[in-house]
Amino acid sequence: MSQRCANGACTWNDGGPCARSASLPPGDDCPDLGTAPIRTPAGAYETGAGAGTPGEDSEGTTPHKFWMGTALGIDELALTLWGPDPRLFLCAGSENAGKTSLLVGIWIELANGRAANSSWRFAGSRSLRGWTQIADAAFSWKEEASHIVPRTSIADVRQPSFLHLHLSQDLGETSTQVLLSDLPGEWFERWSIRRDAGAEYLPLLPRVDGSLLVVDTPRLLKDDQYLDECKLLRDRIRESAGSGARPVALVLTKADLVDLEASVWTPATMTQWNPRLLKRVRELADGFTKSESIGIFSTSILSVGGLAPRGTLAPLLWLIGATIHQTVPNVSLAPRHSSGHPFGWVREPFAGKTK
Amino acid sequence: MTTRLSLLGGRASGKSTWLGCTWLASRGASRLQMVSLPNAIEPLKILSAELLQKRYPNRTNTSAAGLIRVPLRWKGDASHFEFELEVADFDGEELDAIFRLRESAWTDAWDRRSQPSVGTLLFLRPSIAERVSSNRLLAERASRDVDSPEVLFPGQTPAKAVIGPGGVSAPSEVTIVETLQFMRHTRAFAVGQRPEERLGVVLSCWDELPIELTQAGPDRVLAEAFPLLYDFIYTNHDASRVQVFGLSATGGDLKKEDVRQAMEDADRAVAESAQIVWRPARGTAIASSKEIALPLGWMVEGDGALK
Repeated sequence: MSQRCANGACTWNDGGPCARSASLPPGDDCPDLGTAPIRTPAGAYETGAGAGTPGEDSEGTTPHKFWMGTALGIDELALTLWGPDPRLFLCAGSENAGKTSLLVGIWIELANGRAANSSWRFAGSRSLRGWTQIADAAFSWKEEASHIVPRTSIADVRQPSFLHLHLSQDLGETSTQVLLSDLPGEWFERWSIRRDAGAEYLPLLPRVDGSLLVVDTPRLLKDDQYLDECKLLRDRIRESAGSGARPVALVLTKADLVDLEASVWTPATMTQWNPRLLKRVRELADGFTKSESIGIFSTSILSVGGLAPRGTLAPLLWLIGATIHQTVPNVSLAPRHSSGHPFGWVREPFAGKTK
Repeated sequence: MTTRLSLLGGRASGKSTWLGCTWLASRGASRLQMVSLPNAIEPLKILSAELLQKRYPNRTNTSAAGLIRVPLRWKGDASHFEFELEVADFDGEELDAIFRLRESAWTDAWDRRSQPSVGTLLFLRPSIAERVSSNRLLAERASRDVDSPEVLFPGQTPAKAVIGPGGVSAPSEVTIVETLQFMRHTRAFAVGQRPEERLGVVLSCWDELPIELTQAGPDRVLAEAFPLLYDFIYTNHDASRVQVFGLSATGGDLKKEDVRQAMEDADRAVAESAQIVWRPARGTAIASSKEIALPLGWMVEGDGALK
């Protein structure tokens, strides 16, 4: 019996590519394929495509009970954007700039409680498997490997993928959904050169709330052509916002390789920098107008050869703050208690180094 | 009245040991008393047989133990609570299967667990949290740089890493967070929506933790050992309906000969060796008791059980 896909948004059954190929670990069979359980009216599960039950539809499949947990595809993104208070952030940068590593850093810092110095806390995710997948790759990194995480290659990705977070603040009173793109650098390189490529590869651009412009700091220091490429990408990001300014976090990655502290930078503190770096970052930042919100951050994911992300969460939290347009009050079934708080100890703010 | 309690916990998290010890205690001097002998006691016998021999219950056997129904009475602060407890043990590896296989591994039993009548008891074992911070290179760095994250390997006790802010590690609680999300989704809960039922978090094998951690209190150990889960609970539950306990169900590691011998010498049964700690309210001192059924008592009575 041939396998059939249970994902209505996938073209596998018609001979097309697997919709989840971008987000599945190598060697993993797609969970949509063939093994999707079919629930009988009595509540028992049967496994295997084509298992004949009165509950199945004409295609022999049933809708999924839960989300898949991998990175979201474009269709799932569209559905999520209809949900309460979503924020879509473009993680943009050329090949090997450190985009996926930045996402790993965000996840690891969040999972280690480092959002505690902000008002935002983790409240859930629809892509826990996706986060785990990229983080596991980083944790198993060996010094001899050239990349900390597998490169998000244009050959692997057939559709954009997005990592999802629910974050809440004020004791869970308000929440937001964050969607971070995980796209190959080649897409951005093509978009920089040709505006039309944006429509082809990045159909989500009109809906983007803010961007992380990811810049490889060591390369920025020594390669003027790279600086020019970053400026082009910056201008495309600005252009795509149209008349409405969108915040951009300028993220200088691999700071540990140039002895730069992972931190949030201000014009005053930036004067401590290597003049060559300062000049180049100013050239990038000066391309924005005064009405546009720009944050400058330096990040690192390694420290003397080990995985130790620093400063990676700060740009995301800044972007959330810069894009607050509305927050949706949560519904509470239980009465709220303003005193007595038996939940106990609340974590002190993270005492990480900041400038 | 049938009181349905959901047990949740990963591999070797101490669910079966607590259930077995609580069953044994309910036939002794505990505030929890068995009202009458249930029709079928096979699951409880499986759970308690090994404990009576001062050994931990066999996980494979307990996962097959099935649904447990037992009429109980809890001696509360002001009144007694009589109820029929319905609870089912399960193999902690099911959480891994749910994370990997999604609804293929989600059985009707999980649908029932998602609808507890009093709440959920979540078992976590901080001493075996997989806080592997990175790779060999980081371990080398840790040995020469005090600011670097402490590196722990599976089975090691987190001595400093769960206290200091510098350590980073792969979150070990992801499968539990996902299962909790599925349970909420089954009930059509929105993010941040707070269930009316209670959530008891039981940090098992409390005696395995270093003294400086136990002095910090179970609430802090939860936050430091399972930060992702802590934030998830914090943002999705009413704080007044969450209680964190530190539990040493057997008062020591039964795999250690000296622990078993000490019990033997003192003529003390496993069920009499429990130690449980909790913080009654924020900022208050840590309280302790030998009442192993206290998490269950708190489930049915609320904060009055802790007085």
